[in-house]
Amino acid sequence: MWRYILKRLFWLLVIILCVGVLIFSIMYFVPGDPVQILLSGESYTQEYYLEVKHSLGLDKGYFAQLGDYLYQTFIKFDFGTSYTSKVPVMQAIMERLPRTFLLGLFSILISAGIGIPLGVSAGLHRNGFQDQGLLIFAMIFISIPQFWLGLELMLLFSVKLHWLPTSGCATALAWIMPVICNSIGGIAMNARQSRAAVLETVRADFVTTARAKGVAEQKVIWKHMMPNALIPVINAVGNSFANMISGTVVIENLFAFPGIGQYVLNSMGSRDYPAIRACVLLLATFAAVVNLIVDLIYAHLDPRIKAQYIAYGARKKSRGGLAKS
Amino acid sequence: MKDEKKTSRSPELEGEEKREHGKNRDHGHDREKNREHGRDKSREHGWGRGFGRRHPGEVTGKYQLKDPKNFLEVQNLVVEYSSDKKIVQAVNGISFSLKKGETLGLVGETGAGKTTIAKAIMRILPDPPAKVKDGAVFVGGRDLMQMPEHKMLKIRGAEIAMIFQDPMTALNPLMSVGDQIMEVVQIHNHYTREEALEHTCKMLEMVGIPRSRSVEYPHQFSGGMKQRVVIAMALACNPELLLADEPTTALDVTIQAQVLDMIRDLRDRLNTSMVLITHDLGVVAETCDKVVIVYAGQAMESGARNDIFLNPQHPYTKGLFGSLPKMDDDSKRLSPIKGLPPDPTDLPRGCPFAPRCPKACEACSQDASIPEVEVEPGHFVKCLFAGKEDA
Repeated sequence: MWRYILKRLFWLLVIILCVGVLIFSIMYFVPGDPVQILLSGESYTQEYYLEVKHSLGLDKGYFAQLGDYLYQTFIKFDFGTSYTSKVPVMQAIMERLPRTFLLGLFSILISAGIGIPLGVSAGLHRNGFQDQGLLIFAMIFISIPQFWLGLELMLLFSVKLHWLPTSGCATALAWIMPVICNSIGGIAMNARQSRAAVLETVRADFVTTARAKGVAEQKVIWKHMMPNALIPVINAVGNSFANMISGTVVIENLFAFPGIGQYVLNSMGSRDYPAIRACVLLLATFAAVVNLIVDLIYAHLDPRIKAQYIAYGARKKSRGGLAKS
Repeated sequence: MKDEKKTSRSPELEGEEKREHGKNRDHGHDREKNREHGRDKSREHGWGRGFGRRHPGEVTGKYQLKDPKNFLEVQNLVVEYSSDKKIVQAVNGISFSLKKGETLGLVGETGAGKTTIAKAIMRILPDPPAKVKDGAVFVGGRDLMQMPEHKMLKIRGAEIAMIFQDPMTALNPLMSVGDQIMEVVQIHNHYTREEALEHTCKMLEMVGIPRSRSVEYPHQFSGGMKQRVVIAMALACNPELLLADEPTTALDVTIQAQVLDMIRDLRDRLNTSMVLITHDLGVVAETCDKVVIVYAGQAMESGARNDIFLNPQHPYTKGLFGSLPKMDDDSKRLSPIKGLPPDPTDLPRGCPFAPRCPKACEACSQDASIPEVEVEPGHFVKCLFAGKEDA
């Protein structure tokens, strides 16, 4: 097991390094000149332009810049300073990250907390009114675009009713609409997934075995059926957390919610390389770490998965042993 | 077995039962009403649908135990599955009985309704889609079809246990095998954890699995070992009736022999009655005292093993034996039964075997059911030609 974890951590580092190189290269080759954007709106001389370019280190060649970047980021852990705001990128991110993280967390909790029970009840009462209702609502929720729903909500609750603020994150009220918008698709997805998983388990042979043992129906459901049905669903929810975080871009911009997503988009517009690189790197790391944690939890819950991981380590070990002998 | 008196059914009686049966189908509406009334009751037993809510009262108590010596007596059992407007007539009025310590073989093709019969006896059929429409199952003198669910819970796993067909899927993959056996032990006995664990380990050792493996999970066992675990689970509470549903079908031949030997051995030691479901006539010949030949959910022929094996009367039974290779016969080809089993959603009128039967005549496909004829004491045949001529 530990061997497996170490292996995964090693790959995590490799992946992050690759992402670093990739995002640097993409930003380098994408057209658009950050210096021009920075100086736009004021008249400047060619010398001043070159001076600024030099001060930002953008006058060097690709490999020199890449080396510089990798050295600063991975050896000195310095993510640089934003071109536009002149604030250290890390400081700006750390200010925004908790908001995005919380937004994602609330959305996940709501989409799992509402979606899974709905799906379970639909699965247990197949073709009942819960089931029929769920299928219809899930289809609607899945097909509604987030931005459209966001606009409609704003129109209703902010413009007409004046209940909720349209933007920001200052009050708890301001969080309501972004969280709803962000979790509505997840609710539908989770509900459909858990419905399918429950339907699969309802007819499973081991459930019949449990009934044949004289286990009471409640216990059959909660002790035998639900763990088998829901472990994969919860695993999927965990893995979607990372997606949720990076998927807040639309929501954050729609509601002018000062989080990472908004920051990334703004930085893209101004070709603020350090900010973009740091955000992407951070989100990639976050996704990889969450995936690892979710996988480990999955292995802890399902002995079959755990056996795979252990066997994975053991095979390596035995191969090493053979080489020695 | 021989002195056992099973009433031979006259055609009129059959007709009467048929009418009763028809009435029962109309009970569907009453049942819906019952459900409304029984809401609070259903909460008590189960949140999920079906199992807790089932109303045993649906099948009226019109059946009486025929012979108090019978430990298991199944009378006119009718089970239907409903799916997408179609009704699958899985079991159509089957009756058989079994005394303490005896083994009865339910023999038939795939889809003949054998497993449904076993699950109906335990009342673990999924409802919906399955419904017991008629009939009675007496175990130790009580009609299980009339029994409230909470009493049924005490019987399942303790008095009646079942060995399932496919050991690969019959165990919960997330629970250690020890925990799964211990679950049934703890439900039916007032043991402390240590006592239950000890009992579990003993059961594992009895089926030839070292006790150290009780903490392992099903995926760590081979198919034969899993079936042993399933058997240990079934026998953990010394059941009086064991329903073995093709216990060896999923296993390879050498393991089959081991598992069968073990089941027989345990049965003899614990004096358990057993219903063995199989399509393997060899297994029946070795294991069973009585045999019921099942076709399209009906008993085509039933009787003591020797009666059936030495003096088969029904054309279907003869066909089954005809499709077995014989050691003392030089013929190059086997003679299979031509055709396919009938579609259970659209059973033929009269005798369900008539379309495939070499002896069938017009009378076989008339609407009236074929009466059961007692050709020799305890040997019943459901065929118009039974006992009339020698084929």
